[in-house]
Amino acid sequence: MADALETELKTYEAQKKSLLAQEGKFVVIHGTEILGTYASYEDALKAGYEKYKLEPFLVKKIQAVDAVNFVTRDLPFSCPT
Amino acid sequence: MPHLTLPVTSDGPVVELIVGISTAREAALKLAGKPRPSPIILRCLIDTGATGTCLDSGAIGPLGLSPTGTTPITTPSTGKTPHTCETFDVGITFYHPDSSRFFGTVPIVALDFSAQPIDGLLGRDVLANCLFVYDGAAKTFSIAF
Repeated sequence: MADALETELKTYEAQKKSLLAQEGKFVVIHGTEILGTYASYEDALKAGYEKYKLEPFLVKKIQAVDAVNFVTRDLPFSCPT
Repeated sequence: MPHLTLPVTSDGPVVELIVGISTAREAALKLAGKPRPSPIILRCLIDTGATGTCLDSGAIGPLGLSPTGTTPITTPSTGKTPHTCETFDVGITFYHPDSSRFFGTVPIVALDFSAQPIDGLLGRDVLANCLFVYDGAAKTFSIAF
């Protein structure tokens, strides 16, 4: 699971209903603070790093249902954090 | 459009990618006065069955990345319930002697490839910017970027 961004994910879920008015855009969240929404992943990431530097922040595409990534090869899950 | 034509190995159509931190993260590191980690070279299987690019969590460790997203992932063993994975932003370069191509911001998923003969999967997110030709009869593949 994504424990490192747990607070940000909870903030997203709490604000999702209002954020869906901008479905398709990318939102940047740090803790419980929403920095803004952006047209592209690149723009959102740049804004996140400019504001929060190397502190944790979440970039998430605003979608009613998250698109699933499919991997046809079976791999164990692990993260470097 | 620069391209590479390479042999199909026993591991499949594998291409070496130069993987480093994203352009945005590099700027943040510079402002913080921290050194930029050296890019690494990873052997990645071109996988049209992978929605997004996945890299070995151990291999990208030296880049010192922090997660900047999450994504649900389905593999053959997850069944109907996807597993939520963290995503990390990286920069990926296709090396070409005359005209390398740099993708400055690519969200990747870190998975465990330690039991695999490859360091990752080059998925359709990056392939969306490429032309990929698999010539099974000639045992070669070409990728233009």
